[in-house]
Amino acid sequence: MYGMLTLIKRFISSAIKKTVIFSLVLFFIHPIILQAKLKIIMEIKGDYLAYSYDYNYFYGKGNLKIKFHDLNITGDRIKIDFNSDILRIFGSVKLEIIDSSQGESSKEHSGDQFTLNLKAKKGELLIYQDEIKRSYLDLGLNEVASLSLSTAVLKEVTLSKIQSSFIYYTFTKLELLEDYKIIGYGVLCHVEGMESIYLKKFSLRRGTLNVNPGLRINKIWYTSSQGIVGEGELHLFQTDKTRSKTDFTYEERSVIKEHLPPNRILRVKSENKIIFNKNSILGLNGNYDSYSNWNTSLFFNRRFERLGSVNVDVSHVHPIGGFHPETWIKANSSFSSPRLGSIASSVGYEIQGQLQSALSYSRNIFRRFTVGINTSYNTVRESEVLTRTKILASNVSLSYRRGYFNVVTNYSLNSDLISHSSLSIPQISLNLTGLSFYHNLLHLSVSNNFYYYISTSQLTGKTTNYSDNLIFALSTNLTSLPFIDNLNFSLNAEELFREGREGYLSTGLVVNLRKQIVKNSVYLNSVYAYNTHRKNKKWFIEGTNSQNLLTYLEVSLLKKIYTNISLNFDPERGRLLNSFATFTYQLGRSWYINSSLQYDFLNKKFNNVDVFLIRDVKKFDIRLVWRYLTKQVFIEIVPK
Amino acid sequence: MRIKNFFTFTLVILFFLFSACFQFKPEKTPSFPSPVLERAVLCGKIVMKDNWANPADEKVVFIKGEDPRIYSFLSFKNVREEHFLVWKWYDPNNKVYRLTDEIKIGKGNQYFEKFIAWDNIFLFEEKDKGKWKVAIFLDEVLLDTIEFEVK
Repeated sequence: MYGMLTLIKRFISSAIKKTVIFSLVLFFIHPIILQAKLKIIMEIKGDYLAYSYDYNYFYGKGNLKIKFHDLNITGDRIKIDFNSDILRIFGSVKLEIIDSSQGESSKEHSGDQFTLNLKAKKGELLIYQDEIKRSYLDLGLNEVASLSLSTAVLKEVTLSKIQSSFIYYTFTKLELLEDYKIIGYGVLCHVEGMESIYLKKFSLRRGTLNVNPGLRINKIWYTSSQGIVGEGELHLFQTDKTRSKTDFTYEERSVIKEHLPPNRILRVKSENKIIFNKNSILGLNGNYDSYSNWNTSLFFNRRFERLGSVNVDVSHVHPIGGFHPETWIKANSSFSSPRLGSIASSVGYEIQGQLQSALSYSRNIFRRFTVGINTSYNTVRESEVLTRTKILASNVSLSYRRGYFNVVTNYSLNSDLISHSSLSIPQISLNLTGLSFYHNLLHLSVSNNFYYYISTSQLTGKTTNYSDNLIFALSTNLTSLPFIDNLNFSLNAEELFREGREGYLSTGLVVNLRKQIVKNSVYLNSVYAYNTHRKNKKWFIEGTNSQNLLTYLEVSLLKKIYTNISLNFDPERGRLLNSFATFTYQLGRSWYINSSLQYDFLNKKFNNVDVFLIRDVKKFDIRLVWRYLTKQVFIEIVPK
Repeated sequence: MRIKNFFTFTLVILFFLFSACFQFKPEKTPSFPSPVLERAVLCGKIVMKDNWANPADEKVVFIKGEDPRIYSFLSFKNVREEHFLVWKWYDPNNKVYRLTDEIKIGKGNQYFEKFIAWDNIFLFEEKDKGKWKVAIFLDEVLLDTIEFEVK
């Protein structure tokens, strides 16, 4: 009897293990089974359809039949830019809505060109006869008010462009799901011109919108440094009135090493909303990690059209590292109107006695004046890691602007109400900016900022100090000079004075010359920079200066070859510092050979000699790299 | 033994899971279109290079007094039969300004890897300023449109 029970127990244990393993295999292979089936919002059939993975462009030609929601479209040629969700169909365009109960066309329009915004679900139909006839339609083929469609990028959507992609697909039927996932049927995949075998059904692009409830495993990966890494998201409800999204991330060995051990970490981030109407939202957000850090917030947000918004929030924060949990009740509001100005306030109360409050106001007065007032009062209670504080901070400013001239006066006060210390700073700034002379050849700006510091404390009593900062900038850009094509000159100087006859002067001079040696091909550039820094205190003066001369030659031939050779020279000591050279040769439309080297004249050695073979894919670069000095050859993918 | 059985079982499951995902010959395969419009541009000049006419000074804004002509340049590839092109130029009031005769591209059943065609209008002082448009028809079906501005 006991033996039989043991056998049954073993059988059940084995069955459970197999079921778990099989479920895991299914779970990782087909996470899609956990999602509800997505609706098809668009179907396109045609003789030749092509989609570029690199550019996210679609092109179709021949016997096109398109169904977008309830609208049926036929035409000869189609272009879609999925980046801006604009579709355009050309040639004998027919739009119709089929009455599903009778199977007959209930509404019909025809024309030469139809442009549709897939997200706005509105389009423009054009007829090219003796004059252009234009009508704007929704998906029910009802006339709507005119709309603006940004179609400039459609010029780029050509079959040649798609065929120049690193990865593109050709097929005969396309389905666009409601999450904007693209599925192709009868697919040939072209990777750098190499064709795959035919695939009956193939996912061309993963969805970019989350629409249906369900669990989605976005990533399961293994790296030697992080171990198993996983990302997923759970959508519980997703309607016009409700949203619930929870993200999970798991790292077997966390890259954040702040709290070791434990090594592995699970993070959960949840965002949930109830949308009462377009101006009122009730939300509950929460964050949790397996180190026991967590926080949650329940908030209500109300917007007032063209006026402002109010947000009320109850939140609880449970930190680690010696900080105590806190529960806050906060209310924020901001309102703005041209007549009354802008006012914003926030009040927060923590149930253990802490307080945060702030108020700000600004408005224009008498056209050219702007007045602003900010004040805040914050308290922090004493804990093991924090000392008790009560800080009052206020700021008042008044500014005036007329043409090139602008003056700003400001007074700020920071006061610690526990230690009875304070710092107040009256300030005045005078600025002259954007002044131009000699028909815009010479540009000048001058500004002066004066600060007066008054500090009081129980230890030192009242002390005062001041500083004055004078900034001067002069620049010019000259063209069509004899022997030189372009000359840029800029001079900047800044003097900072402090109490006690202490001053700092920094000046910088940059001259940039450019000369075309061979028309549209060879250019010689030279940049000379001179900088000085001087400190003087009463009679004592100390300082440094530095100079640098950079000369570089640019060679550009047949739009395929580009070379840049530079020499860095120290004029003060009369010695060469280093040289840098790059050479780029374009192979076809998107392949490049690139090489670079750097020579250090001081140490008399090459710092790097690298050769790259680069495939420019729109979303990333694939590089085959040869590092001559370190004898390395590797392939890298560099996202753009 | 158990591991081997489990491995076989997993392979069978995987085969059934993926068997519907591909086949070697689908019901319908994409057929490359003919002809294919490779380029449709507006330009200020047409220049000869390597025995081919090429567009130069490509742009969509033309200035009276600076640009004497506006060219609409088309380049096709994979031309297999005879086709007929028509250009319709529309002024800023959306009225037809110029309608060309039918221009033939291709010849009989001959195959042309590349075929080019262009039309132009003169930019006289009396031309209206504003947004113009050119619509190109191939075999009476709208092929492409390009908007441009006259200043």
